[in-house]
Amino acid sequence: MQNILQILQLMTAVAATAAPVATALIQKDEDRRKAEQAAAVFIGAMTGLQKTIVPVLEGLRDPSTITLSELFTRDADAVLEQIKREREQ
Amino acid sequence: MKFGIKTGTIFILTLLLAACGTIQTAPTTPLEKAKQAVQTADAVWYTAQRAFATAYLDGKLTENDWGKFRSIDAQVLHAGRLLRDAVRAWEAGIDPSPDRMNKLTAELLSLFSEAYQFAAQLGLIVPNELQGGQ
Repeated sequence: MQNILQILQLMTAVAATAAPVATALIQKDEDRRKAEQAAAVFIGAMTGLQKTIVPVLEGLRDPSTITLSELFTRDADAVLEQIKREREQ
Repeated sequence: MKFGIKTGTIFILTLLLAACGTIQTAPTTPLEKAKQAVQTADAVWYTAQRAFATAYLDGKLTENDWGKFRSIDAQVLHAGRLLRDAVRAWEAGIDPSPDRMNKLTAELLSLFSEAYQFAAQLGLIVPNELQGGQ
């Protein structure tokens, strides 16, 4: 479980460092403010997840190894089925 | 589940290590920054998907709750794919539209925020305890 927590902690750290990158891409001040607020909330969410939820994270790949075409192709139902299969093993 | 000193220390060390790693592998061009941001967004959303799906399987969510999350999920995937495709086009040599990139990025972050608020509403996250036990 400690390993899983550490993975979540690392994800939080990655999100914390990536959020400024994402908001830096936004040119309009108003949009940037909104994005920064949302990013702060999201980082809080990841921090909360690491404390209260201990999901099985086997299969989580290093983001840098995933090609762009693979991104956002897996929906919630597919993840649900994947977890079911993992529990059956 | 309370965080002890050991876990808190590990968290701080992990943050430092991640920061060092980020500095060493920091993207140097706007395109590389955009690619990294989209990749990270996808990985983080996958973590959220697993968290909600695990809670649903454990009986912590109703069918309606799961349905609402699937609705948010569909919106995230739609916005994420549009942003991903915009970055792919950029990579292929087509200059991106700043307005479009702004809109898609803001939409994605807004949906992430909505998912967080929903998780808090369901009791999956306890924001007031985030700083406790360190």
